[in-house]
Amino acid sequence: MLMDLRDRISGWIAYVIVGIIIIPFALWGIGEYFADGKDDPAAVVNGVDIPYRAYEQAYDVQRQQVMQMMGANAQQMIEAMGLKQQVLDGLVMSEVLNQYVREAGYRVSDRDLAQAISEVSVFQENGAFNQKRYESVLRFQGMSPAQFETRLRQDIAVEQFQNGLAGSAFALDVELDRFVRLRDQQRRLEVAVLDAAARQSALSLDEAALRAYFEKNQAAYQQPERVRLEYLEVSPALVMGEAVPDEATLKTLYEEYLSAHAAETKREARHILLSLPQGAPAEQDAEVRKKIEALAERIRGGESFADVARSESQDPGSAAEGGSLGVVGRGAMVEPFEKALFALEPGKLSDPVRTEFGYHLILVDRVVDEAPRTQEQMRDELIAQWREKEGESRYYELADRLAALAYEHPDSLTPAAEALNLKVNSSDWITRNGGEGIGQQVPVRTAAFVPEVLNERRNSDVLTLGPNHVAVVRVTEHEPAQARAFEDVRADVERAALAEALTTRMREEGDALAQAVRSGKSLQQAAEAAQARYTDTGWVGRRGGQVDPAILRAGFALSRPVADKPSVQVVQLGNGDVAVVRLMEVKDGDPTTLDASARDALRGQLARDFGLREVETMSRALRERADVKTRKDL
Amino acid sequence: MRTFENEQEQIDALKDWWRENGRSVIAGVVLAGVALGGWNGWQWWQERQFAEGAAAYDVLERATGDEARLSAVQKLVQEAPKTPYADLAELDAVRLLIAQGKIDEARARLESLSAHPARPELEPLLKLRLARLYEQLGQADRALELLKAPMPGPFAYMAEELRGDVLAQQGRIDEARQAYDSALARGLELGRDTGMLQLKRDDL
Repeated sequence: MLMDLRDRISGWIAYVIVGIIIIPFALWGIGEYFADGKDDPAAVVNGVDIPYRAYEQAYDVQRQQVMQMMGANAQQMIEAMGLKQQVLDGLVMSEVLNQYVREAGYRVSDRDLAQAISEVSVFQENGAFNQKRYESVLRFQGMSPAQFETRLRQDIAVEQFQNGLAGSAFALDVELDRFVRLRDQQRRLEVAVLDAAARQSALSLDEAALRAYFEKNQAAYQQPERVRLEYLEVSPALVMGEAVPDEATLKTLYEEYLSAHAAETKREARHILLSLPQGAPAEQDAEVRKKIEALAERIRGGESFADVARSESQDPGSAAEGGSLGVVGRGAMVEPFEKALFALEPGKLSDPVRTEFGYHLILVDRVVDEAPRTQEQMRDELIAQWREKEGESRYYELADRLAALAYEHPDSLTPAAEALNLKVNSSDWITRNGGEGIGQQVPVRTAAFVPEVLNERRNSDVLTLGPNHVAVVRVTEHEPAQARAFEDVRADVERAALAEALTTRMREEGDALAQAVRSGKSLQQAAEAAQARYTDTGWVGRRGGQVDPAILRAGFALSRPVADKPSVQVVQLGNGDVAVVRLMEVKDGDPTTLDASARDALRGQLARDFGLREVETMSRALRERADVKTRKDL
Repeated sequence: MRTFENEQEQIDALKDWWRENGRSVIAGVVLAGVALGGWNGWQWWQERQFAEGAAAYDVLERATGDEARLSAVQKLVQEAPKTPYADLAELDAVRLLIAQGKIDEARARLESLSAHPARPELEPLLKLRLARLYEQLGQADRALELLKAPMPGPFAYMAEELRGDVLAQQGRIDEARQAYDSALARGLELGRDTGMLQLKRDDL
């Protein structure tokens, strides 16, 4: 049939057919070949993408916070708490909620939006919303006002929904009573404690028992598998070392410092304010202006600025201080005020200045002007500055080339080291669970035991060890896990075997005691026979004061005793002792002892708890309803 | 496929076709236009409802004093009944009635809301609140009846706990324990703080 085709199809028809066949290859084949999945969205919620970039940003922010809080243990903490999953879940949840409030019909009016924006403190200057500041803060965040407003509108709508549910939550009398009965419940317990220390001294194991224990637990006494590594590290500090910029560069840096310093002069000043809202009618404006000119006249006539400020200024913050603003730098005041302030000679009264707050009179008491430091004094600081900046820009290039070279020469680090002028370091022994130096880094330990690196002795991928800090490692020596001789670990074995024997024995004795009680004996008598310490706790509450917390927990977890069925439990205590706990009586808390105000407070607390749970549950239900796909590698 | 001798024949054929199908084509176009217009109109009307609901809810949130709030609820529910704000407003009224001790009135109001909420997703939540009111009113059977219906996973956790509460109150200890155990299992699955639930279970 193919022959037929070839014979009959010729000329332009053949080209058309070939063209049609090519299309899918051109569109999908090549695309597939190049796509590495890096641009796939982190998740798709009902067909709406959550870009991977957004996920990365959110993850970085969270990671930084954990690092700041936890310091050295941060990496473990991040893994243990499943930060990646948490971040992704959070993003998905907020997308679900955003979509829901939109679809359900929650709408935020322009007025509410404007009010919310004006209440954000970072957008305020002198306690009032400032448009310029608003725009510059957003620009710094890399957001346009339109983007920000869309996002804020969504947030407010979600808040409306959640606060609406939480705010209408309530707690009822039966619930309040039930809570008090439980919370203030008291129990009377009998306890018999078996002393571990006394029993331990009577315990001994012969050599055969120790050997048997060793044979059974040999895996625990192995010398774990370990490797030695060589590695290349790149970070701005490592890249720059002790490098020093040339004199011309230093001079430029010094000049930059000088101009920054000049812009930093500050002034100690006072002002008097007569308030006048923005856009006030002309008559009102003229009236206030006349008033402030009269004040200026009084000051020129010899009255002290401070006295006039005290009696006339309408700026609540400074009036009582004689109008003093303290020391003011650039960028702290609204623009017209700042302009006038920095143009003014000390001791000379300004003309009236109009700002959005009203009319001001300004007096500069003093120009605070520290002399700039000399280039020689600044030298070390300038060099450090230069190294940091220069190091960072070189770092990115070096890290890139390191990745390429380590990949092109997978069997050695030397070519990369030579090309980049780096030193190959070597490490001490590193196991899967720990090591010194670079072995402290989790990514290093993980990478070292990947089959390609461990068995094929290839270079690892570029590993991120911190912000602006990467490394490539390769295995130079590998030692598999090894059994150790009994004699070498005898002390450890003896300790562990004795501990195990003791635990077993204590548990057996405890169980025997409990059994005796269950079969109708009194705990007190059984305890005496078993050489256990007997106590009756009397009535204790959940917080229980003197009673050991483990005993208390067990006592409050026991079910209420029924006539012929003693309620008894064996627990291990923190110090190794074992306690047999018997619940004798239960006395519920009494809701009538609460006065009206305590009751109201508790009712409020329970209602809030209900509200929070309901909102969380509602959100979860919405999420389960949504069609969510997350990226496989996350 | 037909072939044509000349242009005139082609034109005639087209004319014939139009005579036969012209009406349906025009009707189709008009219908599509009406549908599109209707859809747009509906969207516009709905957006206006939402905006009215939001504005009325704003008024409700600012209202102080029980009477003012209740009348703001009334106004909102009349003006924007098909909006989520109507549900929130009704829930606020229920809360107010409970705070005033008018449990039975609150029950009646919540019953009618949960029968026809503007947003059906709220139903499980409304049912749970309603079941609690039944318990308070001593109508355990009605509460249990309400909690029997299956609920979406996360709500089932709260429902089982509540069922345990009602059963325990009635002295049906074994059933209560079962309900609490099932709630505990679900709570664990959801990663919830089950402290209070555990206390209640241990106390049986």
